[in-house]
Amino acid sequence: MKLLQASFRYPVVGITVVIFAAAMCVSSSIDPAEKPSTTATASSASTKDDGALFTAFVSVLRHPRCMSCHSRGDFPRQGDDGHPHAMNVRRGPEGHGVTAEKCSTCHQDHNLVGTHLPPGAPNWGLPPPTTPMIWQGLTDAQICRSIKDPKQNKNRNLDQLVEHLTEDKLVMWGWNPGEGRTPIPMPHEEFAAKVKQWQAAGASCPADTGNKI
Amino acid sequence: MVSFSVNKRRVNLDVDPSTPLLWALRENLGLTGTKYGCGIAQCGACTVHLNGEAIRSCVAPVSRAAGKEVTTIEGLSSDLSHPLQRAWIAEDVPQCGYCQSGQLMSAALLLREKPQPTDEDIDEAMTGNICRCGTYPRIRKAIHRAAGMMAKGEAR
Amino acid sequence: MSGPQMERREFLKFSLAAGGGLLIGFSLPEADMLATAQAQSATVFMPNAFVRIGTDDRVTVIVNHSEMGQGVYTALPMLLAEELDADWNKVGFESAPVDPKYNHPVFGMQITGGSSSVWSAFEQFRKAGAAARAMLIAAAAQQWNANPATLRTDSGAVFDGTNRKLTYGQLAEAAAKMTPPTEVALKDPKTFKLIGKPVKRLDTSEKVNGKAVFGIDVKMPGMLAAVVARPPIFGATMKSFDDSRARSMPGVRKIVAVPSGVAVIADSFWQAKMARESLHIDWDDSAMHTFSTSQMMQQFREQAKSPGTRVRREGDPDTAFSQAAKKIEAVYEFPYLPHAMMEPLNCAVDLRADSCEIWTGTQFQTVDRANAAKIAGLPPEKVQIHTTYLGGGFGRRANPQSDFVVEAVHVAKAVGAPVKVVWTREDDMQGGWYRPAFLHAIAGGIDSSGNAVSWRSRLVGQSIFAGTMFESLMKGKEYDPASVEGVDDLPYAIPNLAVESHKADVKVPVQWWRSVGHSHTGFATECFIDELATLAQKDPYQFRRALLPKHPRHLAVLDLAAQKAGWGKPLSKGRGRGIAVHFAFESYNAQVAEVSVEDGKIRVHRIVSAVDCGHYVNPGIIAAQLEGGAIFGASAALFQELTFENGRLQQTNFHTFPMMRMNECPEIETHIVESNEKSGGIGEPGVPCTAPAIANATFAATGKRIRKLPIRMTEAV
Repeated sequence: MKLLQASFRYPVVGITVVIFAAAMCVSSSIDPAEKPSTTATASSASTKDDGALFTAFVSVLRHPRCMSCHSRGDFPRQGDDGHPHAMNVRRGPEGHGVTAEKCSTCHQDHNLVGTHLPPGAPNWGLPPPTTPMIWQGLTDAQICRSIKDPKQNKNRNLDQLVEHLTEDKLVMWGWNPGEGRTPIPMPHEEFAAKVKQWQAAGASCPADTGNKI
Repeated sequence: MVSFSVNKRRVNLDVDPSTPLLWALRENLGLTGTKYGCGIAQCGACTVHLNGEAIRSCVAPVSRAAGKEVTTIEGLSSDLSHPLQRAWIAEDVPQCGYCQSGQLMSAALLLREKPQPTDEDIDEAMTGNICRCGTYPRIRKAIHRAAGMMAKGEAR
Repeated sequence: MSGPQMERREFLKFSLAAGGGLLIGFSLPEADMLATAQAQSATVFMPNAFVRIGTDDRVTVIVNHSEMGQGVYTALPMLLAEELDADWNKVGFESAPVDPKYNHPVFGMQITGGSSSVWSAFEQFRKAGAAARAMLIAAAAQQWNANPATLRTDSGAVFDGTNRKLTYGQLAEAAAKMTPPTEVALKDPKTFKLIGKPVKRLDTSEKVNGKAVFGIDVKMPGMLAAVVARPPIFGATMKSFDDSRARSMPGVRKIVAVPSGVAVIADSFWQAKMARESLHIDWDDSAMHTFSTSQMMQQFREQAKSPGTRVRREGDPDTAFSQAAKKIEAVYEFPYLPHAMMEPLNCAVDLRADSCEIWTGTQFQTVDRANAAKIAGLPPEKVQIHTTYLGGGFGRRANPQSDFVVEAVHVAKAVGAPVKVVWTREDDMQGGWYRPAFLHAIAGGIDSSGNAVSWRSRLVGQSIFAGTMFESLMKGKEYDPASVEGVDDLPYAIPNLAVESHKADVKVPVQWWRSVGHSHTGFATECFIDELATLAQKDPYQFRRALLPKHPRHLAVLDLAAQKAGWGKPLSKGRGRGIAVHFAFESYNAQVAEVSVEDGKIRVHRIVSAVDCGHYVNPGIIAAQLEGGAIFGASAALFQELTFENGRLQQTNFHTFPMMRMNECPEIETHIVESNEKSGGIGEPGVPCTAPAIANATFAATGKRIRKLPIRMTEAV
């Protein structure tokens, strides 16, 4: 258990969060520099994948649109700087906020037209606290293992995982995040193809470099 | 045509389905207790209940309410009997009063799910509601008071 | 709650051209207007303009100040009911129409501002109640054939020596036939039953069930809704507009140019707003298209290097500063700030050939009526303003140009139907009339014993009076009194003292904002005195005490706040306490803040606020105003600024202009000094001390000085 300090306009002080990584630096935002370096390089499909097929699309998972709900802390984040969500919004018992501040209090199942309006997609929310799926601070290998781990991924088998990654409307929102938000740069078709390529090749994870952050 | 119920009354509205529920309530139904403050879900003045959940009506299209039940401040009670209304009066919470409909509707959700809220629960439920006059300390006290009244069975 | 704050004597000299004369001292308005109402209902007793009593025993107090949260709809009825001996459970209120009868007895017009409602009404409303009571007693005396002197009143009834009883309702009809007294005796304050008690507010019920009607809630038959597309940059003018798409949108009735922009009138607000987004407007924005606040502040810093207009000068500050044993110079900077009331501006108008009815939440009825009449082409008497509840005011709704009212009359004129103009939050925030940005350059020194020996404040900022009808108040002065208030009367006994003012020539519209000049002078003076205390290696509380020998009321609030806050007692690690004291709007306030700084962010844990506002009326409302004032001040200290780049305002709504929220709100304790001094203000005096108390506490916690608002630890020195 460790204190996490929040930044930006809405200081959230004294929030206790469960920390999963062995040694995590305390940070107020999602620092792209935390992305661990990897020695693997993306290669064309091969039957003997050393994890390179995963690292070929992991940049999508690390994008702020995804990390807002897959970062440390029991709260969502906002913006490309990953500041804590305004208004003291919490993960809540099911990942959908608490009491009068649930995700659906402000978010619809679709984006609204206009700037500075809450974005939306079906089932808008965070992973539940039982399977929080926190990627911030993990190596590529750890992310890879965590998304494949049924204990962490809501019991999804590989097919269901790939479906979530490539077809879930909430995930797809990252490519269409509404006015004023940076979309995920890798085209969705390319991402989906890479995920499926990875699956076809056995969904291997890259070797752990030991570079845990 | 969008059909839903408001404060237990059935309504059929001939409005553009993308019109925010807030303006349908205020302009089409004359329920002006729900307020416009920011239009972008930042201030909470427009909070109403949709099927028992708090929503910001300024960003919810009226189509979202179709076939559902909406409760506004006018429906919180018909006679100021809701423990929160009684507590608000006892603590002299409102100043200008403009944000208070939204504050009460948020607080009502909080008490429904956490009948004995801690200060942290209050922070988690009420931080989305802005009050420019600065009635937060009294809102906090009034929520605790209402919870006390409910615990003692002084209110439903 | 702010308004033209100037010396009262100056106000007495001032009279508004349109809108009526000056009432000096007490006079009870005659009941001529009320005679009309009596004719309609002979059973109602209206002894004067401020009270009406029905046969049902209901007492209705007509309040000539606007209710914007500060509690006038309770405090003023309390004053009247006290002397009337009314049954408080039967007392209600109504907002006064615009009429010279309801002019502010000192300011000479109908206005709510300057934290003056209670002190200006203190005698006026009591006398109105006492006069009504005398007539009720006279009516009872006639009925019982008794000597009025043998009768007494209590809880809404007259009693004789044998405890025979006639309620005010039973006497209303007869009392209406009595002659109003010319002189009335007022109660000995020792016998007050209501005044001084924490009586519950009368307006709470309708503010917790959605029934309270604010300007934005006004409805009338056939009413249309309008929004106005206003220039994106101050001073811009419209060259042309293309409404071809907007005109065909659903519900749109008319799109028309008005002096403030392009008005879109539709069946509903949402339709009007949608159509406005489809307009294409070509603006000439050359007037201010290069304006930036960072450049402006740079200019202010340059201006502050040369001597300004003399405001106050004692001793020889220059020599004393050069000879001081230790000296310090500091520059404090303050941003533009919007009032950001929760209810955005709005105004409903029903303009007919020979009348103009206006419904709005305004602080400035007389001025608004005069300005509206000019546009309507009607004499002011043909214009009536119905004052609704105000969803916050903070000075914005007392606009010398009546901007939001005048615009609505223009729109009504153009559309030829009843119409309500509603401002969006973005319109409201970008609509101008801000607290002016300011810069204070202060230099001070202490002698070898640590005594403050010199102080020179140079202020740079825009005048809020220049260019308005209030400009005459600056006559004979080369500076705006509202710019320097709070430093021109610096209470500290410093033998060599200079206050100088530079006017800034910037075209951003500025106005009074809750606590007006005190909102920046309070911060600059109370932070700098703290810096001098540090220079002298003295406790900041004791350092202030020693410099206030001739100011017992400052001392009393300072001592009270320090004592209640536990000044000097150990604090947990990382926390610091800061103190500030300030006089404004006839009241004295001191605050102690307790903060910690973690990860560059300030957390305010506790604020203790002590006030001496003279003879007080409702301690419950006073506590609420101090709580709200501290939160208002803390929001400005921690979060708020308006900045311009290329002429465009960078903030548009609450995501970029944050308010303090529930989870950031400190514990706030309030204390009131018992006093029989003349009643003072309470809406604004609780604001100025909060920011300096927080800044000084931040210094205590971190050793870093805050010289710029809003506070950013990266800018601390």
